Parts: sequence; C-alpha cells; structure tokens
Amino acid sequence: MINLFINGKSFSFDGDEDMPLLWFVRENAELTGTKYGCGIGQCGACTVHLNGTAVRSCTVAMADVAGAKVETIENISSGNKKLHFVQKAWIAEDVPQCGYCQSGQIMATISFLEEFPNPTDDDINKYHTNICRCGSYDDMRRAIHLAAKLQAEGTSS
Amino acid sequence: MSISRRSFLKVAITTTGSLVAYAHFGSPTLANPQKANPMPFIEMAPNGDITFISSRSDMGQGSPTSLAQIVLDEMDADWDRLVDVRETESADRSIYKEGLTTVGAISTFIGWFTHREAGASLREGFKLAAAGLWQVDENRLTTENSKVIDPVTGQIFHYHELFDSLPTLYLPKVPNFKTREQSTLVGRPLPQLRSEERVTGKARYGIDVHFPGLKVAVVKRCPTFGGTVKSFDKTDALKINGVREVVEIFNGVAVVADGFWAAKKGRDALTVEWDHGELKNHSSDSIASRLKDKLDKPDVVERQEGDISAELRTDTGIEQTGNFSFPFVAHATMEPMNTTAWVTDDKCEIWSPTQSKLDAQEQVAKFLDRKKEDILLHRTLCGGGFGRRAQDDFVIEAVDVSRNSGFPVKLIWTREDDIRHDYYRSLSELRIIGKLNDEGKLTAWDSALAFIDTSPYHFSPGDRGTKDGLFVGMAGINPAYKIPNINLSYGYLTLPITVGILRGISHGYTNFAIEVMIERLAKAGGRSPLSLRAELLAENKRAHKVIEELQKLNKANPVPKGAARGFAFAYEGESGILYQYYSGHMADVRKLDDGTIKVHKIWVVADHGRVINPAGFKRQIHSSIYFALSMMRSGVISLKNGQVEQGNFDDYPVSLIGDGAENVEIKLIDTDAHPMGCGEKMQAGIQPAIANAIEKLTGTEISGIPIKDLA
Repeated sequence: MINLFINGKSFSFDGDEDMPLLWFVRENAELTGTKYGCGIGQCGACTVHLNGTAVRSCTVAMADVAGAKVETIENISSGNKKLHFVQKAWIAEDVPQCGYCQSGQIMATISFLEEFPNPTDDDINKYHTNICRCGSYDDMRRAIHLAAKLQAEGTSS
Repeated sequence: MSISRRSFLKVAITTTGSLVAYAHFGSPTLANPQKANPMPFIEMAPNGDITFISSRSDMGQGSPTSLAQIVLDEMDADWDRLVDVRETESADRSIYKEGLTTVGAISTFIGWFTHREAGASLREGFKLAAAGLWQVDENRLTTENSKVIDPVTGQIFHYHELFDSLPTLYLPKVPNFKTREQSTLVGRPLPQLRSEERVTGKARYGIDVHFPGLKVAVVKRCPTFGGTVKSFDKTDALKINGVREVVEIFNGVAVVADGFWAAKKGRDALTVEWDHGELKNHSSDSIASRLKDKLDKPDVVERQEGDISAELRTDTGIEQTGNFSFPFVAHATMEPMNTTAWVTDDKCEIWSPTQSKLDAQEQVAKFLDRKKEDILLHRTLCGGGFGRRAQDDFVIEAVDVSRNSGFPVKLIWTREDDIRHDYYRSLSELRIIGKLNDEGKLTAWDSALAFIDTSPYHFSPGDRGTKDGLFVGMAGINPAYKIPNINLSYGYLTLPITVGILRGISHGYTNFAIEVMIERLAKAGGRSPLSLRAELLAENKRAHKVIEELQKLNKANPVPKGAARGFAFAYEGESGILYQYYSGHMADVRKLDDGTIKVHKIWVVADHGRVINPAGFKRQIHSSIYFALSMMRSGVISLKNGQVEQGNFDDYPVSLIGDGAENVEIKLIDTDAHPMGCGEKMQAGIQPAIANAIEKLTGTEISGIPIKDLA
C-alpha cells in the first residue's frame, strides 16, 4: 500500500506500482488539469510538483512516491487568492491558445522561477523545455518575465 | 451571395429564465435565401450575463473570441457581461445548413454573415420591444452596452428587462449593419475568452471526460497501413489487473480496462497476427520514386494557356528547373486523439474533441446503421487541431469499442498511436520549369505535382472518392502571377495511407515551390524579387498592395551584416469572389557560431480583409512561425516496410520556446473586404520566405524540407 498526499489530501494506492503518477493524479484523484502528452517525459504537459520540485509525472512510478507530497495546477493558488502570480502573468499576457499544455507550462515556470528568480532569455531557452504545439511561446516568454517581476514584488501567494 | 430580405428573430426563455437567442435568415452557404436558418448564438441570463454559444470548434485558434466580438458588437451588448462560452449542442444540419466543420478560414468567413445578422436582429428586436412598452417610434431609440435608450425622454431599458416583451417576431426589414466607425468591438485587440479556465486546469478537453462507470480503452492497430487483423490471443491481456474486456473492432483490437495504465499494459500483453497488406514492401523512398514518375505522366492537366512547349524551346532567355520533395508530415496535437462513447441498445452518446461535429455524428449513425437523431455528440474543447480532428476515424473507433464491449469507454490514443496513425500531409514531389525572356519578363511556367490520393480520406464524407477530394493534395498549384504560357498538371497514387489536411493543406508545399522558383528566377535574371512579383501581380490590386508594403519594409530595414533575406507571397481566391486573402513575407537568417542557421527576423504583411481581432490575428502569426520552423527543421514522417518509423517527440521533435524567430514584425492591412481567419494560412508564406533566405545565405538550393542545420 502506497500512501501519498496530493494537494494536501491523503490518498492510498495498492495497484500496479509501475503505474506513472500521472494516471493516479488524473484517474484516481480525478485532477484532470494535469495532462497526458507523450508518456516519455518529453513534452512536460504532465508537470506537477513532487515534494516542491517540478517533475514530469508520466516518468514517475507510483513505487517512488510513497509518502510524497504532490501539488497540481488545481492547488497552486493558496489562501484566498484566486490565482497564483504565474497564472496572473499568463492571463495578463494572454498566453493560452488551445491551453492543453498550459498547466504543465505554469507548473514548470513556478519551479524555474524559484531557481532563476531573474531569468534571462537564454535561461528561458535553456531550461524551459515544455512543448506548446500551438506555439504560444512569444507570449509565454513575456509572461515568464512578468511572473519574475511579480515574484520579486512579493505578490506571490 | 444574398441574404433573405427579411430577418426573423426567435428567442426562447429557458426554465431558469434565461433568454436564448436565435436568428433566422438565409444561409450564406446556400443559394436559396428563403429557407430560414435559426442558429443559437447567445444566452442571456435574467441578470444580463451573457454566455456565447460557440458554433465552431475551439482548438486555440481564437475564432470563438472573434465570433463573440462580431455578434456582441452588432447587438450592442456589454462585452463586460460576457461571462461564459458554451459549445453548441445543436445537432441538426437543417438548423445550421452546414456541418460546423472548423477548417480553413471559414469560422470568420461564415461568421461575418451569420453572427453579424444575428446580432443586428437581436438589437432591432430589443428596440422594437422597448418601443412597444414606451409607445414610441422605434426609429428614435438607440442602443449601447446592453441597453435601449430613448434619447428624447432619457428612459432606459436593460436588455434583460425586455425578455418578456421580446416575442418571436418578424423584423420589418433586414437590419442595417454597423459601419466601421460605429463598431465598438470588431477591430479591438480583446483578450481571448476562456483563458482563466485554461490556466487553472479547469478547462475540460475530450481526454478529461469522466463519469461513474466509464472505462478506458486503447486500441492495437496494424502498424502497416491498410493491414487487417488475422487473429489475436487475448489470454495474457485479460490477466492484467484492471483489464475488463478485449474486443475486435473494425481496424484492430481494443483493450478495455478500469484505467489507462491497465489498458495500455493489456495492449502490450496482447498478441495479434496481422495481414500486413500490400504496403508492407513500401518505404517513403519507393513511394517518392513512384511519385516522381508521375511528374511526366500526370493524371490531370489543371490549367493550360499559351504554348508552353514552344516557349521553352526558344533559345533566348533564362530557364530554371526546380525539383522539390516533401515528406509526410504529422500533426502532433498536444492532446492526442481520443473520444468517449456510450452505445446502448437505442442510443449513442459521444463526447469528442472534434473539428467536424455534424459530419462525425452522421458518420457514426451510418456506421451503426441508426438514425442520426439517436446519436448525440457533445463537442469538447480541443487540445490543438491543425486539421487532424476534422477526420472521424477516432470517433468511429470509440463507438465501435463501446458497441462491441458493452461499456461506456473513453478511447485514448497514446502519443505513438497519434504519430503512427495520423492523416498525414501527403508526401509530395514537384517540378517547376520557369523562364524569363531577354527582357526579364516571366514568360513560361510549367509545373508538375504528384502526391498520394487524398480523395478516399477526405474529411468531408461527401467529397470522399470524388475529384473535389483531391483538392487537399493539389490546392495552391495555381500561381497568382500573370504568366502568358502556363501549364499546371498533377498526378496521384491511390494507396492505403491515410492522408489529409494539415494546417494550410497542400499550399504548404505547392506555394513553397512556387515562391522558391520565383526568387531563383529573379536572381538568375538579375531582377529584384519583389519588383518581379509586383510586376506579375499588377492586375490584382490587393495582392499588389501587399507587395508594395513589403517593398517599403525592405527599404526601411537594411539587411544586417552577415544575414541574408528572402521573400514570399501567399494567397487564395481571386478578384470577384469573397474568399480571398493575400500575404507577403520577408525573412532574415544568419549563421550562428555553431554553424546552424537562425531566423533573425520575420516580417508579415497580411490583407485578410476586415480585421476582427488584431491581437488574435497577430498571435496566430507568431505561433505559425514556430509551427513552420518545426516542420522545416524536423517535420519528417518516414515509412519503412509500410510502417511509420517515428513515434513520439523524441524522434519527431517540435519547436521549443527558443526555436522561433528572434524578431517578428507584422503589418495588418485592415480593409473593408470580407474578413478571413488566418490560423492555417501563414504556413504557405512563412516557410518559403525562410527557405529563400537560407538559399541566399548558403548558396545551396533548397529542394523542400527538412532543411539541414536550421536552428
């Protein structure tokens, strides 16, 4: 039996331990904001925070998440705030087109900005590697810079 | 194109007291204007909140926002009260007079008729209702922000106060549409609808459909195109914990399980023996070689004017021959194909991220041999589309799995399924011979094209197996340029390889080849590539204007040191018809230190008629550049033994955030011509402009895609 926390709630699992965390999040916890895109850790649509760090949940087996704390897109705005500052930046720059990849883009950006609070364009090119097939990247780049600014201003939730 | 002389406004009050507005009018897609065309457009709640009812698929292209702007502008509604968007549930072709298929530039193109008239009808209806209550002449009333105002008395009615007084009524005349100056919403760079649900994970795509008892299915399909199931052994699959059923369907074997992982493991454990069919001995190379033979033995002569052979026989002038090859290209939408279906004895309910709502519904009815009234198809948000979702294969698959297993099932394609069982842009071969005479005039154009027969797989069932079905493979072979001696021909091979529409259809290769050849001929003849184009487009005012604007940009922006510049022109339509657009493209490329070639800047000049939402329009251009570069850099699907060699983003890589152009500049020519969308239209111009710049930079001829060393 594997016990884990998702968005602060306790879950247990006694199925196939090879199953990727992605499918537990989507099907067992019914948190469908986290998306399936490739299943091999290439696209990042399934990005969640595992013990505080962004991971591609399609490559994390259930066997490896015993006792872990998982955060998904549904839970990143804490307290009474409606939106996380990265989400606010995304709306301000009107980033999403089809939107399918954007949960993963935002989860990756939150982690990225913790490591690179004042990122250059080169940092973004090198370390922001989630795929957006619509190509919303030009708006996204501006949103990442704006989110960095919001983070520095302490409007983070 | 005519619209009925009299509009008919229909409204309905729902059980919760909301108003649902329809407008009847002659369908713009039909010649007969007498037939009423009631379309639900908006719902207004008793407090005045508005829900836009989206007739078109929403796959990120922005047209729901544009269409909402059109209808709310004409009805003088308060944009700030637009709180929600809902997919239409209308499922009857007699209502819409068309299938709601969301392809090409038709959302905006048709919406400019339908949504404008609906909005204007509503506006006039509210005025009539208020005039009746106030007992005044409706002509003195004005409207703004969801209000009817009597300027004489200063009285005001909010639209939502008028529901009960707004009976079904004939309007005395077709309401006038607003002028450009009167528009309050059309032309504004309004933000996209539905963004908040898309950044919070609340947006529901097809793959997110869930209800109690729903099972998940994955299908094992023959890896070879056209192959069929000979036999299968489900013993091991059924041993996997969570697997409920294994059933054969029309094109493979489906594993139905409690969840995706069990279904996929079940599929891995399944043994299927295939009859691989005729394609098992074919590769991309062997198909390309057969297509090349077709260049000299075309099936169709599309256009022949002047005397091409006489002109090419003359010894004077400069002749250039260009050969081009393009591989199969896959869509790779972020959300892989999926559909949820629940077939019972008398009903079939479907939830699908489809671009072809009514076609898919009708094809399911045909497949099940049931009445189409018994098929209920809910369209969901689409995680990308690019034309892939206009096909109905994944919908029919889900229906077959549910029927044969008895379960309600959500069919999910893995990424590998999605890459290996796509409706690809066809592999194609082109040869163009062009000639400039001694005065530098383009006098001859001999173009031959070969592709895989698109007709059997056309997204529109009515076009399957017809000549119209070939359009997907040959569109764009006709240059807009005026050339006295011209010969356009094409040939095709009918093969069991599913080919179809992909963002910009065949213009992506036909116009690519045309524009590379024009630039080469200009260079060979010592002519400026833009003035040659301007000369050849002199009789088409809109096209010429686009080139003029490009010439200004070219002059104002000297080529940076070390960079090279290329140009391209793209279009559809002709003078005298409404469906027209023109765009001009300029690209600068430079070599990076690692030897790769980077697109330094792209300029786009676009005349797609009246601009509904300039921000949305520009957004589509920016994103089209990433899509174009993905394709040009690595958009290659190859076949070996009749099977696709690629399977995921590791061997079919697409653009990441650093993989675009370093700079983008856009000039929209906002005219009063009929508006057109642009989501798919930019591929035809962006790609050859980049190719021409690279050819200039490296001195090596570009003969299609992929292009080596493109960063």
